[in-house]
Amino acid sequence: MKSLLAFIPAFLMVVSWDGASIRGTVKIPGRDNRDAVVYLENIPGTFKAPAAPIQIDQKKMVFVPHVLPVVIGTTVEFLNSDSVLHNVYTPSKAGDKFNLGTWPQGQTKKYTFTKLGEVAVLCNVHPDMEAWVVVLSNPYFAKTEASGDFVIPNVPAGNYLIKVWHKKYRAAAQQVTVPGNGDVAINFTLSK
Amino acid sequence: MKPKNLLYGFLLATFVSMLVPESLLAIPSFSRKYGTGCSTCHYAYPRLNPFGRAFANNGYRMPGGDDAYIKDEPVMLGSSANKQVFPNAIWPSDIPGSSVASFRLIGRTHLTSRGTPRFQFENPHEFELLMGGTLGETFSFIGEVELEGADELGYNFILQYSPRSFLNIKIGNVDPMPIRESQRLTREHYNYGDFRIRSGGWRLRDDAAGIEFWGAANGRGGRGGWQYALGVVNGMGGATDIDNNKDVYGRLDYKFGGLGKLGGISADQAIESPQFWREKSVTLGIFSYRGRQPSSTGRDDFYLVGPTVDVFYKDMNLFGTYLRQKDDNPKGNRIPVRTDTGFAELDWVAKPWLIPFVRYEMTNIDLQRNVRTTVPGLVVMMRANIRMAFDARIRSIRRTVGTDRYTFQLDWAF
Repeated sequence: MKSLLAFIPAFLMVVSWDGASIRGTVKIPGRDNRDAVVYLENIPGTFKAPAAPIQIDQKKMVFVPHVLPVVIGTTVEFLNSDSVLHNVYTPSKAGDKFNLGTWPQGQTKKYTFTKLGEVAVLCNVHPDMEAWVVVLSNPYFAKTEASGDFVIPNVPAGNYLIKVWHKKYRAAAQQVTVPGNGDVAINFTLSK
Repeated sequence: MKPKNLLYGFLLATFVSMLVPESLLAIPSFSRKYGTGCSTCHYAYPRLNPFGRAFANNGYRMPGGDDAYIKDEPVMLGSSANKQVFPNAIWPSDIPGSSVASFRLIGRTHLTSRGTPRFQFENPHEFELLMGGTLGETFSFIGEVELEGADELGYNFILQYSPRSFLNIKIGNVDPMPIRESQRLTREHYNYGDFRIRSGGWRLRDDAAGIEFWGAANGRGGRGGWQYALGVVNGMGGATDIDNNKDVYGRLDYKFGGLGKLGGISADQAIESPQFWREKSVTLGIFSYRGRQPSSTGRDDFYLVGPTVDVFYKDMNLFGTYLRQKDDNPKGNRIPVRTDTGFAELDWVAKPWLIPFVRYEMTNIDLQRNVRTTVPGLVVMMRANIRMAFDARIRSIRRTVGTDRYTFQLDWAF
């Protein structure tokens, strides 16, 4: 009985503590802080893409969401919710310059992203429409909202390189040491 | 000279030299209303692509439901529940949320084969104030004020009521042309629009104040469809008529294949139309105009009639018309004159920003004087709203001063 009681705290430690969180803020002076992708590199391991596809919609002649970070191998499903024709294609090498064609309302087409990098997603019927798919090597990433705040939860302990992607602005990568538990704060200020 | 006479003289000169405004063209305020670029409705503005034509046919609203696309919310003029109160309340409507004013500025450089000066900069050539929008669920408007040079002012406006897609009523400066001027890529007007049976006489592209009833419907499977127009205008150009006679005109066409006249997208159409300028369609139509103009000994009754054709295939658009005009007394000697005019134009969207074209025109007056004109050219869309165009007018009769003309035009709109 005593040995069993001693085992319980150890068991709780294993199941309750699954890594730390990296929290912070991305700031773009004078601009909207949303749609920046904060991500980690050099995390060991193999990471599976989600089984279900993730959707990007074409609604009111806008891609929704505008920026979608995904793990390599993820399938993205493109839906046309508008009553006008839409097309999906990319000039980006990371997307193998795919062109899914043009289709009407209610239909979807899929593409699986198998190369790392940024993929600009365009519509050749409406050249002003644009989205970005950011293909990453692991699931430790977060996208900022208007406030610029981000949280990357459940990061295993270790030393990593943390970077920011934005379609227009840049910031230098930083080193981050993630402890076994607790949070780490890190902030970025982007510029051109 | 007394100052008052000077003022009257200035005003008279201004109005006498009043422009014949271009038919109402691409309106950037629609771009702001929907938060979308020019190429949603145009390629090489003001040329409308198939979707742009469907947009216009829907009373300048998005086919399939307008509300979902509006980014610039309108200002309500009465809540919609007032419909239940009518006739004890004014039927509710709305006005555009922000300014509907847009601008277009045009500069030209000319070279002619004869005359003085042969080479001329005309920068700026023209300033246009454009406006367009919708008012409530069934009204729409298009307007334009044009200033050319220092003293040439022109303006036209249309208010349109669209209770049903098969019946729309347009009041203002209507467009009694077989092929709308808004489709013209060139500085040179279409020959049939410029042609006058006699100097100072009526021409088809003159200002036409009047009323037009028109309608459209999709064809089978939501593709193609028919469209008609019947109009009554003052005739003789200008807003003020000179007699009790009114001119009448009519247009009827049927489109085979391609996007429906009122929009509506099928999967097949999606496959055929991978780019915003493309579709596969053939439109066959007929146009007729009957009018009266004064002649030296009374009046000249005339009519025009002829077919139109418009073919879209891959990256090319081939279109044209052939008109037979018969005047019964154009020279005042009671001798009728028959004139044949027509043209065929081929445009090729080589790249979305590069459109070469060539137009061949024929004007045969009284079976005697046959003028053939070739209008080759190139449009370069430097940006969606900055357009560079070069076109040449090369005529078969070369003895006339200024017969051949080469024009470089740069214009931008916002």
